[in-house]
Parts: sequence; C-alpha cells; structure tokens
Amino acid sequence: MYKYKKDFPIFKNTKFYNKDLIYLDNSATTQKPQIVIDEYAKFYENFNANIYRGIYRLSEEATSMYEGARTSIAKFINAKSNEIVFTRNTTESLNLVVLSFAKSILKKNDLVVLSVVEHHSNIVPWLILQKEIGFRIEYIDINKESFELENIDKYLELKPKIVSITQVSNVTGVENNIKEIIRKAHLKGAFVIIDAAQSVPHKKIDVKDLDCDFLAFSAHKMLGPVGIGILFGKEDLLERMNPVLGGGEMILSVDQDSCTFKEAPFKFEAGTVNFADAIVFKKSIEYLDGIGMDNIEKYIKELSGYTYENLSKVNGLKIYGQKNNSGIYSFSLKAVHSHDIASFLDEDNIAIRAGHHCAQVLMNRFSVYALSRVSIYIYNTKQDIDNLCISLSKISDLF
Amino acid sequence: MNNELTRAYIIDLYNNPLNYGKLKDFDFSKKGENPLCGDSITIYIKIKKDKIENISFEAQGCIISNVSASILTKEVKGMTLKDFKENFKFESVKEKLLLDLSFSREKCARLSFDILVSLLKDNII
Ligand SMILES: Cc1ncc(COP(=O)(O)O)c(C=O)c1O
Repeated sequence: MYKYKKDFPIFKNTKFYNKDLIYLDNSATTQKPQIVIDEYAKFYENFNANIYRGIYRLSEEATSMYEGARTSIAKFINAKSNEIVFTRNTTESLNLVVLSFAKSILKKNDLVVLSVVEHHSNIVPWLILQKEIGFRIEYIDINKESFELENIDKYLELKPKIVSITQVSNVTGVENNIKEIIRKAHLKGAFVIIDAAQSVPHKKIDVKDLDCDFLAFSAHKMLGPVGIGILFGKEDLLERMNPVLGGGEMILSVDQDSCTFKEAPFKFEAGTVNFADAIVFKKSIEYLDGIGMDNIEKYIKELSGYTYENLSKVNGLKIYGQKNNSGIYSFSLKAVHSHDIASFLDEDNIAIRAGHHCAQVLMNRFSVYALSRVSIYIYNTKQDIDNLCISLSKISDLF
Repeated sequence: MNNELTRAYIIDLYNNPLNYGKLKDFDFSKKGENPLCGDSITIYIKIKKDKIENISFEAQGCIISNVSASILTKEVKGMTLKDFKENFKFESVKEKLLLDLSFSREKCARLSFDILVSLLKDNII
C-alpha cells in the first residue's frame, strides 16, 4: 500500500526542518492525491457553469457531472441516487436530520439515545433542539474493557424515538456493532442515525445491509475536497421531511403566499450548491475504488495492529482504547501535556492531533482534559509508525 | 522547541520553575484559563510603594504556559507599576522564551501575561 504515497504531492513538497512529512492526523482530514487535485483544474477549465439553470450545453454538462457524482456516491454505499443529499460536511448532514426529521417527530417527553463517544456534531444539534422541544437525552456508556458501546437493550427499554450513534469513534478508533444495534432499535420502533465520518473512509459500507435510516460522512476525510458532506436517508423518510433552507433550485413554484418543493434530495439543496467539489469528490471515490475498499480495510487493519503494538511499548504511554481496525489511537504520555507532545513531534515533522477531539463528553468520561491522537490512512507506512515511536520515546526520556 | 539547547533550558525551567507557589503574604490574586487546552494559572502579587514587591504563580498545564509564567514573574519582580504599564509588553517574555511559537502555542505563552495585566487593571492601575 505504501506505493500510493507517491500519488500524494504533499509528501514531496512539504519538508520542515529538512525532514519528510509524517502525517498522522487523518481522522481530522486526509491528504489529496494528484488526480483529485487535477480534477479541480479540469472542471474549471472545461465545464464550469451553474447547474440546473442553463439550457445551454455547458450548464447541462455540469449538471450531468454533478448528478453523475451523486450516482457514484450512491453506488459506493449501495444506496439509490435519490437517497443522497449533498451537504457541506458530516456536521451539516447531522444537523439536517435533527432540524428536519427529528424536529418533526419529537415531543416534550420523548427520548433520544446518543452515546458518550459522540463527536460534538452528534451532541450539540440535539442540545439546541432540546432547548426548543424539551425531550430527554440518554447517553449509552462504553464497556470498560472493550471500549465498545455497552449493550443497548436497557436503553431500548426506555422506548427512545431516535438512536443516533457513531460507527467508529474518532477518539478510541473502536468500532461499534451498529448492525446489531440498528436491528434491535428497529424492533423497538426507534429510528437510527449513524455518524459514519470515521468508518466510510476505512471500509465498505452498505446502507442496505446495515438498514440504517440515516448515515452521514464527509468527503475530506476520504481523499476528497473540503466542503462536501453526504447525508444518506431512506427514500420514504427523506420524502416526508421538510426542507431546512429555502431558496433557489429547491422549489417547483413560488407565489406571494405559498410555494411547493421539488422532491428529495433536491428540496434539501437550496441555492447554488457546491457542484465543483461534488464532482471532484467523484474522482476520490474512483481512486479509492481503484485500490479496492477491501484492500484498504485489510491494509489499515494490519498497520493499525502494528501501531497499537509499538505505541504500547513506549515507556509511560497509556492508550485510551483498545487495539482496533481503524488505526485511530488516543493516548497520554507520562504527565506531558498533549499540546507539548504535538509540539515536540512537530519538530520531527510528525503531525498528530492534540486536545479534546471535539469529544468533551468522552474526555469527561475518561477524566482527562486532553489527549494526543494518531490516525493513519493508506499512505502511512510501518516506517512512519517506527519514527513516531522513536520520537515519542525521546519525549518520554525527557520527563 | 527549536534546538537541543533551547529544549534543555525550557525543560529545566519547567521542572524547576521560578517564583512557584502561593505567596504567604499577598495583596491580590487572579486565576485565568485557556479553555482550549485546559491550562490554568493563578498569579499572586504583593504591592509595596507602587512597586511589584513580590509575585508568584501556580500552574496546571503545558510546558509553554508554565515556563512563560516563570519568565514573566522573574522579569517583573521589583518593577514599578508605572514601568510595567508603560514599558512591559508580552514581547518581553517572548524574547526570553527563545521559541519560535506557532499561532496556537502563542496563546499558551500569553496566558500568565494576560492574567497579570487584568489583575492589575481590576485592582490597581
Ligand atoms: C466521528 C466524527 N463525527 C463527525 C465529525 C465532523 O466532521 P466534519 O467536521 O467534516 O463535519 C468528525 C470529524 O472530526 C468525526 O470524527
């Protein structure tokens, strides 16, 4: 897999202190291969026109490229094209479900079940809506050993209307058995929303097989452009949802007193959408498919195991989590502040994340303020991990 | 932490901070936090004849905020309030820190200075 590194120009171009870049902050965002970067220029040099509006050839071409991107993305997760809504990112996708779907079905004493590992993007929108409606929120705890979500049965006994959880934690990297959770939740009549920001980049996701009601992810975490997110929603659910944003292109007709909306997904895409990035995103999907998601899953699993074993050997390093298949590990090192660890590693041109990882609920659960996190992707190598562990050991020796 | 010598100096100052701990006899104190990283610093100060007669700090957090507080307290101890107000800038701490601070780390380095300025503003100047 290391052979793919050469497809990413940033590794040739970016040297600090004369050292090669070791990029281990892939959960935050991934780097982009040359063919994805080139796709931008190709689009703007040859096809740029606002979509849906023009009758002229160029606009029709751009429209068909945009819809082609929707079709590719649908195929990628085994959905139908009209079940794919383009948003800005995972955060916006989740907010759309909360502000439209959840808002229309939740009442004062209803229950929504989240989990303690959720990213702020799957907590804050609920807290905002809770202020308005006054429903209850319960958080599924994690198992102390496996770090997976604990058995959901007791939460389902409380008869939640909605369960909204993450597939892979961006802090522990641990994957939850969402297929089983979705099956059980549906038996109890709850809708299930999946935050798949950290899973879609790593493995083949099949929304039909999972049977989730909604699923959200971001292009920028899987070699794609920033500014494009995806919301998958089951056809019948999207159909009955109201738009959140109103404006051009999402309507059928407007008069002074009323308007009618286009069908889903178009009614959720108001105004001029980010068609250029959507089209570029298609290229990232083609690149990933070219490697094969099964190969990617296998490679990341192997390198993740290697990362776990080597991090565990660093003196004074404590991993908050378990060996996992995602290559995401958060840790503390003696009493060194995570920002200091990140600064020390930066001197070796190693990029990692430090802080609360937009998961303060989980940080509180762990009774820590901040952690350091490494996260790998297809261009990372065992050599990267070796260098990381050498640098971490040097820091450990200083204290 | 840009080279081995600077690194040694900084880590030594972190392990052996100057003016650390609560003063037995102080006039004012103030605690400040950087919510981004959870750093918190408390500054204690004793004023006599318009002079910073004594100053100390307690800190929880990263190396940069700790070490900056050591440098700050060392630099301003004995200084007149007038001199502090007119001539002392954050840059005076930064120079002594010998670090090429990134934007995000500069906030850590500023923390103790900002607390001192606001403590003096609240109470004296
Ligand atoms: C699990 C998880 N959910 C949601 C998000 C939010 O993604 P975005 O910032 O692209 O909206 C992230 C990003 O870090 C994440 O890791």
